[in-house]
Amino acid sequence: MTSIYERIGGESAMNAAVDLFYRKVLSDDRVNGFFDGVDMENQAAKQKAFLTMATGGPNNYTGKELREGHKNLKDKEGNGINDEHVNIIIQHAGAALQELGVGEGEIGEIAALLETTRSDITNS
Amino acid sequence: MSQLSFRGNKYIVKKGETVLDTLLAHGHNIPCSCKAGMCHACKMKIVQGNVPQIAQGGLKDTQIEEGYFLSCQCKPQEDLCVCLPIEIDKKYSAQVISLNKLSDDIIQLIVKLKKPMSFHAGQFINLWKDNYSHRSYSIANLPGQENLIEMHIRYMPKGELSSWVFYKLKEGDIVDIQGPLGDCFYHLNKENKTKPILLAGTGTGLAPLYGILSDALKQKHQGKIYLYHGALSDKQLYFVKNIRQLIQNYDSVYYIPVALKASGFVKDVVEGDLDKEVLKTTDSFDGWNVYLCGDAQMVRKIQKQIFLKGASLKSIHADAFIPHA
Repeated sequence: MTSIYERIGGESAMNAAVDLFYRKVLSDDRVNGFFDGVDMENQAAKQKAFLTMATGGPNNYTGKELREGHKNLKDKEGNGINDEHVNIIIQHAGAALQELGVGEGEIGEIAALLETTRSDITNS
Repeated sequence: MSQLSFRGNKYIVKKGETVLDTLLAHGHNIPCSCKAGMCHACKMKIVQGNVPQIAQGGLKDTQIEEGYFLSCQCKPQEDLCVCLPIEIDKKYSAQVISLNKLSDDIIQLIVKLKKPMSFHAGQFINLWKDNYSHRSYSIANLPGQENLIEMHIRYMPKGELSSWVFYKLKEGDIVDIQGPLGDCFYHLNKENKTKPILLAGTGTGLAPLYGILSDALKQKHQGKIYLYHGALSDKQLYFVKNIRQLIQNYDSVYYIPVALKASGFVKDVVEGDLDKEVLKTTDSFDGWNVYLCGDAQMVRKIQKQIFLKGASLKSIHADAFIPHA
């Protein structure tokens, strides 16, 4: 079976998805504190890797990198990432994919995949 | 099977292998991370030959034009010669033609290369003071002008290179130049030709922006062009006459000098914050090509705001200047 990645249009769809997704995340005061001072191009490359992984495209993303990368992140108040933050990010990813015309069923599949990374991201 | 040349060695790329696989297998320490075409750490440059299109996926138009590709995604279909991005920069010898003060703390340095160098206005070069010290400066002029290179150099207190340029360097001196580097330049293609362009910067960030503007005009760019130059005081704005002269016959090119405090030194200066003024340009930057150069904090701030207002990340060229002591 072809992956969602291929079905929604592969790499060029990923580029569009990253712009939409990252824009939503940066506009959301509940989570954008985690992104202050980061290099945007670098961050976008990571987001793309993340979405590519979630849609079953070619990737080498491992749970270890996810855990290490998120472990020490703090927002402006010094709080780490909690379940609510993960929920918000998954919602934004879903909304971005929806805007690109990805079907409900596929977004559900992706959300389920993202769900499996939750404990790595919240370091729990 | 194709043959791969790297640092004077020739290797056979086995079937199914990438350029990165082959070079790593032969003990070369090529920077890499994800090996999935995402992180761009393994970016290399073509010296000769062609790479499959997939090896340039995700790169900016200007990077593709410069021959960059992702070695982890490149399964060559033909013989190929490659190098790491930094290795291609030969050193060129050049003679100082003129040193002109553009403002209290900015000098225009024009040098003449002894051999021609292929470059785009807006790229940068490394200027070597001796065998040990160099700094990066952007190119403000177009290629093809008798091998001349124009740089704008700002005096940094205790700055090794800028002190040398301001107080030691004189006409006729010979200097070394290395480059060109960077992907901050006007990329001409059918699609870009009619798109609006935003150029915004502070201080000597004007140098590459002026170069890009000159290039766009020379290539008969058809979309609108906005050039914003920001400073704390309008006394720090420079090149005002040159810019106004350059654009005087163009109806769709706008120059907006912006200063936090205006003293009347520059005519028609807009008093305010550069980032806020830039954002007023349009309701949406979707479909724009954007170039941001100068103070790192300002560049990042505007980059974020412009992105949030619709510009695609791939269309934003941000060149943040990090000052050296």
